[in-house]
Amino acid sequence: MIQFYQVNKSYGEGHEVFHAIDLHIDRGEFVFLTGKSGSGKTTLMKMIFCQERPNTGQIVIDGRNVARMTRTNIAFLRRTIGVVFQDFKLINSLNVFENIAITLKVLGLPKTDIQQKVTRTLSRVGLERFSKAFPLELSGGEQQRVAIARALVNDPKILLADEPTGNLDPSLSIEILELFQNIHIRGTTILMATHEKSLVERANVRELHIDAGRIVDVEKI
Amino acid sequence: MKAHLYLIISSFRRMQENPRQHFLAIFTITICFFLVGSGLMGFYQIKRSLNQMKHLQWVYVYIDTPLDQHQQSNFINQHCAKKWVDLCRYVSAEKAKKLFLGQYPDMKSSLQALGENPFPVSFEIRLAENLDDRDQLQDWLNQLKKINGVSEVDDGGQWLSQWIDLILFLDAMTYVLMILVGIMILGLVSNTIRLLMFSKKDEIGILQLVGATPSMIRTPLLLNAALYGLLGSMLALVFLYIGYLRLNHYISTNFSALLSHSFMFMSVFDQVLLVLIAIAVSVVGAWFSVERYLASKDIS
Ligand SMILES: Nc1ncnc2c1ncn2[C@@H]1O[C@H](COP(=O)(O)OP(=O)(O)OP(=O)(O)O)[C@@H](O)[C@H]1O
Ligand SMILES: [Mg+2]
Repeated sequence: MIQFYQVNKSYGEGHEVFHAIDLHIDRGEFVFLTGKSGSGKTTLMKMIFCQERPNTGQIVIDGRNVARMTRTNIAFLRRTIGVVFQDFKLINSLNVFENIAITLKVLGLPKTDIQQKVTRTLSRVGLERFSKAFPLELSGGEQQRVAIARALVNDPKILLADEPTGNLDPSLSIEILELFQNIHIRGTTILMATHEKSLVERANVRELHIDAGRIVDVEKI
Repeated sequence: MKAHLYLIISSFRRMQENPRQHFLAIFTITICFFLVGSGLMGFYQIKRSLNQMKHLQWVYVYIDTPLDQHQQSNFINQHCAKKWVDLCRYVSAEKAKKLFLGQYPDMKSSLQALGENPFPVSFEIRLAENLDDRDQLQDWLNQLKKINGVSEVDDGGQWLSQWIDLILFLDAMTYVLMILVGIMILGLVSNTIRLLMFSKKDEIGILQLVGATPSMIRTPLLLNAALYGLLGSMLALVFLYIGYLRLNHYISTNFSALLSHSFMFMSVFDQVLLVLIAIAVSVVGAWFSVERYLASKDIS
């Protein structure tokens, strides 16, 4: 599903984030991404949904080489990828419902479908009552759950979650993890970046660790 | 297609979020088109006056020998059936004499002393207003001179062709004015749209990240610009009309003796044309800045 071949990535001159990494994530896998702050977790995700390009090397997503995609095709690719951004990226002038609905509006779904899907997803993340609220009226954790809902609402093939539990207390974190596991069971490929060791241990799935520009599989006993 | 519609609707519904920016855009277009409209109407007015003066211009074709009825109508059919001929009449020697005496009655005795009627036979041709092809006119005049039996063609000399040149110059000025203002509006609108995009930068970025195609980003912005053009130019027309009514009123009360005809407002055709041009120019201006924005964020 996600393949990196000898990918180098650096920002500007000399600041190398990744050095010749190879990465293979199969369809339907659930993978944790760990590494200390600044190691490149967000950068890796940005390369997957084409917000950043690698300096050299090839990236193949769902069988397609992203280097050869047009802007329009990149847009189509992104519709199959749900992203929970580390900084949420909510539109402050839209309410919670509308923020989640844009993913579906971009697809041109009928109004009734949008209504139904958004409402269902809101209840999955426990935010039914905030449907009409605006992002700035919500707590950090609530905003984070809106971001999660927006990524999930479209049943994406790939879910990229960049520290989706960073602002949540442990019990909510576990709820979100269970939500992701449910989605995973239905066949979605999930890549989730996190700092929380406890979550990684609890989930007991494949863990990729970024260290000094390299990416390694953490051996599990 | 439906996705485009959603984004368009939401972008229009949310125009109230930054009304100042939208009003500013519309008003700048209004001012530009008000200026352009006044300029055009002024030019048009001058041109009309010039044309009317040209209308007073006659061409006299003097003939050696009197013509019978048949020959007269032959001449008229052959040489006067032109779009720039307003009136064409045969003036016999007798009639010329009568006309002359009508103007100068005290010359009667001197004329009688001559015995023979000294007046030549002629065709008097009055030119039409809508005459703008100088070469065609010149050809026609030359042709008249070459006709057998024509002794002289009096066309007022250089006067007529210079007149036409003046009108052509005014026409050219009109185009120059239009182009200059067109460029101005192009710059203004493209700048306004750039500002608008800048204020919505985060939102546009997010839309792109959830899979909006470039055309979904572009279409609402272009329509927005089209709306600027439409409202701006229609507002300009309203102001122009008010100004026109006031001016007409002022002139008819104060200078009625000086100007025989009242000013005219733009024709409906011209008004529609102005609005369409405003929309087109606004959309092109917006296109420039949208493309520049999209290209600058090759992948966003
Ligand atoms: N747009 C950018 N321009 C320049 N440098 C950048 C940019 N984005 C990230 N970096 C740098 O690249 C490195 C990796 O950043 P990245 O955001 O991928 O780290 P991260 O693993 O997500 O960190 P965190 O856990 O704090 O979110 C950092 O050193 C960062 O300073
Ligand atoms: Mg990060």
